[in-house]
Amino acid sequence: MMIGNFTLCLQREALLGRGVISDHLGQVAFFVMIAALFPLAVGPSPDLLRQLGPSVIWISALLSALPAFDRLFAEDDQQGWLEQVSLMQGGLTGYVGARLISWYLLSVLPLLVITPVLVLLYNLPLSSLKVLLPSLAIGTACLNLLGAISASLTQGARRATLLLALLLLPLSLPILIFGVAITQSYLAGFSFAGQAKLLGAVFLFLLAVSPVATIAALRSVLEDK
Amino acid sequence: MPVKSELMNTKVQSGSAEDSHPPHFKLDGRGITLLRGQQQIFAGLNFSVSSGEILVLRGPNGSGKSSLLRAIAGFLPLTAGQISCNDKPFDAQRVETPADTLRCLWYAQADGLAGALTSLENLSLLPTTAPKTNIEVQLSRHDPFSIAGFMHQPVRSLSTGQRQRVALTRLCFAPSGLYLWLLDEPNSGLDSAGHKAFEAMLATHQNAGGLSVLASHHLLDSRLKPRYLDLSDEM
Repeated sequence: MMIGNFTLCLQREALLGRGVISDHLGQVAFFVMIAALFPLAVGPSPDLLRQLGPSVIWISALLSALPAFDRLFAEDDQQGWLEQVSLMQGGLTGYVGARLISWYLLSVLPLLVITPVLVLLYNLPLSSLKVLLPSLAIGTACLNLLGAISASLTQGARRATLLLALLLLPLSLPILIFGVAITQSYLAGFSFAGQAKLLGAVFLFLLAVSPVATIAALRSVLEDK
Repeated sequence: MPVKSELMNTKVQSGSAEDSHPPHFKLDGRGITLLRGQQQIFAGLNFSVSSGEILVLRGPNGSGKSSLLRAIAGFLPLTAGQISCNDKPFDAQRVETPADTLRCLWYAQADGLAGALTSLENLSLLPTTAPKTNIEVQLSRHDPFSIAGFMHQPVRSLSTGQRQRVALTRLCFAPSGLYLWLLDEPNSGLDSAGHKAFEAMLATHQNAGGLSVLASHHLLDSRLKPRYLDLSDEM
């Protein structure tokens, strides 16, 4: 029985999802606000905005995701849910899997829904959505996988939020670079297959590494209590 | 701090007159040494608990009751010594386990209940239980801690004692014979009726061949035949 507590944890996430949806909507509002600041600061020139567009959308996605990550494991740690899942069949593996899936759905789906508005704001062609949305979907998945490592490492630390940001931002540079490059290549009329493959590679690498690292870090959280 | 190591080898009674259906488990700790940071909590501690037995850890605050429970559950690594079950190394956190191995249920003040969910929803999130409706049916038949009155209230809105009763009710749904209960101060916030219910629950668990190790400042009913391990002797 490999599934173990995975379905149980998913069930719990589904039940809890109702209560935290407003938090995640706040995150999306933050995303839109950061992106809306740039035109005000750099001026309304359409050409300039079109050039900046993809980068600004990616940076906003990155920054708006940051402040939420310290909540990723905090409650389950404080409420003793980590102890409970550790002792179930499936252990922390099932828990981390379920937690990341629900976190991704709750934080990324609203963000993707609102992105077309920003595309219009930055005077980008609507056709760019067909590369921007998939690349954002994969890029934010990478970000969440990195965030899981950082959040589990800083869980319980003093000033965890700041520490988490300092840890996460440098690590997320490859995601930002490849992600922006995909849309920019598309807009310039070049092939973006290379960058897309690189982003995909980053995703697969993180998908393999992140759960293992996160589980190890959560074990040490339990050790220190 | 000088540490006196002492052998507290407790005798194990044989599995008495219980039926042979549930497998017999004997959990042994030998020469256990635990550190908290740089400081030694205790050294060379021995304990043993078998199916149908209750071991109560006693001692003042800071004597390492919780740490020993955390060590048995595998949260805290042993500095020295080992814990074995039926003479094989015991790992409470093994991801996959065959059906008839000993598993642990954990209770501590951080009880694992989600504050935003109702008592009933929390109870439905158990590895060993059937869907929510079944729990409601089961509770209507047997409600050891009388939680029926706040079954549909979010746990966040309950008092500490009520919350504790919900958390303890969870333990009742697992098949006793396969479970070791690790309880950290399970009866600290209970009123006298709650305490009685707790002892009744322990007795049921015991009769079904379950194992229990609990850290507590209270003495248990002597009919439960609890064995006491005083950790203050180990300092």
